[in-house]
Amino acid sequence: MSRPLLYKFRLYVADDAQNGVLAKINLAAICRAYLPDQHEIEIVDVLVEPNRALKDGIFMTPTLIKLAPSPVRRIVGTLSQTEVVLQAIGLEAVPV
Amino acid sequence: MSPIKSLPPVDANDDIASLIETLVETERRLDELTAGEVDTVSGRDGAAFMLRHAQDRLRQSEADKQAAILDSLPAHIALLNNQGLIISVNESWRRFAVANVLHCPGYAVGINYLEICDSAQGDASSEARQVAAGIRAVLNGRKRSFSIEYPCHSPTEQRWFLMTVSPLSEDDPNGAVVMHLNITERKRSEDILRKASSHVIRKQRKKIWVEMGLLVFGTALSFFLAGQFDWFESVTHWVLANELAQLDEAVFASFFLLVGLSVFAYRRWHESQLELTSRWHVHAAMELLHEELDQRVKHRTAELDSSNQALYVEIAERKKSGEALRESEERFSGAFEHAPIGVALVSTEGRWLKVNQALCDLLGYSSAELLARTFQDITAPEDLERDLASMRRTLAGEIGSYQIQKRFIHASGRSMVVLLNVSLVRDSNGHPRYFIKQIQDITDRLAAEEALRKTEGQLRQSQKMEAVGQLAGGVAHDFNNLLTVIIGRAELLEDRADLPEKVLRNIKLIHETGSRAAVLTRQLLQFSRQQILQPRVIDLNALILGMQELLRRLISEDIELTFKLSAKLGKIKADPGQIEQVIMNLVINARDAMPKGGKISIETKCVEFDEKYCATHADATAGPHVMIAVADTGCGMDEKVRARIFEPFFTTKEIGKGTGLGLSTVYGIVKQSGGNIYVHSEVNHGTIFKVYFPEVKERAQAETSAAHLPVPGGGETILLVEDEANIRALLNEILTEKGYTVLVATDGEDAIARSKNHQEKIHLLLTDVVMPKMNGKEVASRLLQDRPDMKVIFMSGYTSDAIVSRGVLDQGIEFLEKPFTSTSVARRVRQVLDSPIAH
Repeated sequence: MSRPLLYKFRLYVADDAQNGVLAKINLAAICRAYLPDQHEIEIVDVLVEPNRALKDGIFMTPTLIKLAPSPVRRIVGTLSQTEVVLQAIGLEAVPV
Repeated sequence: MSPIKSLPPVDANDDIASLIETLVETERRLDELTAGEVDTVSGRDGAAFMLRHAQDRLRQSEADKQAAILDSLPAHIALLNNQGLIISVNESWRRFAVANVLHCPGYAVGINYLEICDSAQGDASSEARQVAAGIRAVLNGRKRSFSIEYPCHSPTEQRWFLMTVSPLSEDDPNGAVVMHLNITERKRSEDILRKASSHVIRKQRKKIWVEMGLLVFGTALSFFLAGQFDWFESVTHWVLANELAQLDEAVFASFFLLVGLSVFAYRRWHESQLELTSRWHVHAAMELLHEELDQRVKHRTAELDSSNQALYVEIAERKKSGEALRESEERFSGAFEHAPIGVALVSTEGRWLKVNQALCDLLGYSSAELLARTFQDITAPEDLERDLASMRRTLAGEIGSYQIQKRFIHASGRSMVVLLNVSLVRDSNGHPRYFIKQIQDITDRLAAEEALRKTEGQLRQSQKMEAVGQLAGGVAHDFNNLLTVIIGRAELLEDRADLPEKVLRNIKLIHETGSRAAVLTRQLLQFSRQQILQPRVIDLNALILGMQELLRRLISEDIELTFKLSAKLGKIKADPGQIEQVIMNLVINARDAMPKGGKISIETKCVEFDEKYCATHADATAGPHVMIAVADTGCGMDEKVRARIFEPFFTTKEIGKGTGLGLSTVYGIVKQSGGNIYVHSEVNHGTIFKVYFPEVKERAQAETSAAHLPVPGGGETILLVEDEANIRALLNEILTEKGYTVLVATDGEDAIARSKNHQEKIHLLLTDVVMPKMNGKEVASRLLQDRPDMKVIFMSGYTSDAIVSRGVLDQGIEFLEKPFTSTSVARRVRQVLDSPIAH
């Protein structure tokens, strides 16, 4: 069996604004539970790196971008509804 | 470019307003669309715009974090502004300040720390001056920082602190951070070390002295020995002569060498010993130090244990006492809240601090309304100074508490009398804190006392009236006899055709004047309640119209009297005299309710009481009724007064103005006549009394119309008994003129004698009631034994127990009221003679 898929996430937040913090926590929890050892998370602060947000077309924070595996998906919000998030990143079929 | 230009132009205000509106609306929509889960939004240029709620929360969390960090530090930290004012402190500072408030004041935000340092007294005052100077230096930018160690001993403990002052920000010293760190432990350790090392030095010093002593001693011994054997000279000689072979000299040399070696060896040994000793001493010092530290640690641990123990006990105690306190507070607040009398805490300036429900009810204000006022606001102005004076005396400590009776202004505006109990609560330093005021409404009590006083007055008044009534009744009786003669004689003369017109006019005048006097005596008798009920079928309208003159005389000119009489009024059965009194009393009552004038209207009409009406009016009976209503536009009365108006002796009039019997008499008469009376009243609008009598179907006995009809006479025999000669003569003349045979008797005995002498039938006994020797009733009963068919008419000016019980004539007894007219006597006599025998 080949190496399991690596999930690459980029989470755009603004400083320590509450929803962004929640999104960070929720994303970490989801990754720990469903993608152990097969995920990478990059946090980007739009207040520090506005150009990257511009390049990625981010117009709201928190926004999560699933960069890999394709297709690229983006999810806005605190990621508190696990089911919806899993569905959005195409994870519902993955056995826990 | 002037800075003014950067201000928005005035005419842009509208645009700005609408943009702000758009902004607010945009944010609201964004929040709505993103369910509040988004922090920032950014436009095409990538610049992120943080939404307001995210900004707020971020700011708050930053502030919380900073506060948490500052609060978790053991150092006491305060931030000062450039004036030295404390603008913020951390938790440690706050705790320390609370625990040491007496020793180190000035913890609170807003206090000037520099001033506190400047004004410090006692042990640490010189350090405090240094601190103040240090802070100033930092604030002025003269120093980058400042620190000082200083003692701050509490009564139980020696303490040291390290204080550091640094600027609030690196470049701009627009404030300073003051930090105190407790360094007592470090100080103690240092102290122990210092003590230990000084001990070592002392010991070393002692050893050196011993060594030096030994050296000097050894050298001295060598010199002494050499001198003894002249060895110095020999050695010199030996060295210079280089002669070594002499035995004695060798012996000396060996000895010298031995001594030198001994000295050397001793020195070496001693040095090593010395080294050992000093090592041992350092070691000992260290051991001592450790030992002491150990001991300190043990001591501290034990201390900590015991203080922990104490803390647990304290916590348990506090919990317990906290519970007890809470319990007692609850109990207190329960007692406070539910006290049946008004209780309030009032500040020394008079502000209500806390009020209970009873007080709110009492004064008619809500708690919030009351707290927004001072007690001065609602004190009756005339009572204010008295209360304030007592408050001042209490504050000054001249008196501990006081009790006064004063007036408050109720929320409704009326003044109310209260009993006020005031005591002052002081703090532990004796400074006044607040007043506790107990307020009791004594308006009712005073009213009751007043009422009692009034009742007593009324009783006295009524007793007086009773006496006056007796007197008046007696006078009226005699007066009636006189009037009977005057009116009767005038009447007889009026019928004479031979008299000239001028004389007749005068006689008529005498007649009328006599009649008016008769009305007055009747009123006097009514007043003394010595009249007799003679129910007759009457027309109420006719009766009222007949009273018009009398009523107008009763009221003053500024009162308008109007009548609204129903044309189709049914008849009632009642004593007309009594009904007149009812109307008169009601009108007087109405008059007295309008001291400044007004309107009195008297109305009559027929009403039908149905079952429904009777269900709600216990004393009403169904059927047609005749109503007479007396309404005024006077002061009216409240519910309390209204409930009591029919009570005997209850009056709202001044003492001497009313008997308190007027309305109770009305009530009695109405009830006695089978009627009902109701009253409706509104304060300041007026009162209306409605009296209902059951309608009767009989025809009214119209006295007035019958008076002018000729009265038939007769041939019967009448026994006349009258002790008053003039009346006797008048009656004799009237009756004889009508054709009757009259037997005239001067008293009861005379009547009995004449009855015995007269063999023929006597048809009628006409007798006075009140007579000396034998009264009319006795005369009648004696005569009726022999002549059971004889009819009887009693004549009297007032009631007498002899013929009347409960003020109503006994069944079958005919009565002729004095004063009478010739017509009324003739009619009455004819009536009775024509009636069937009742007994």
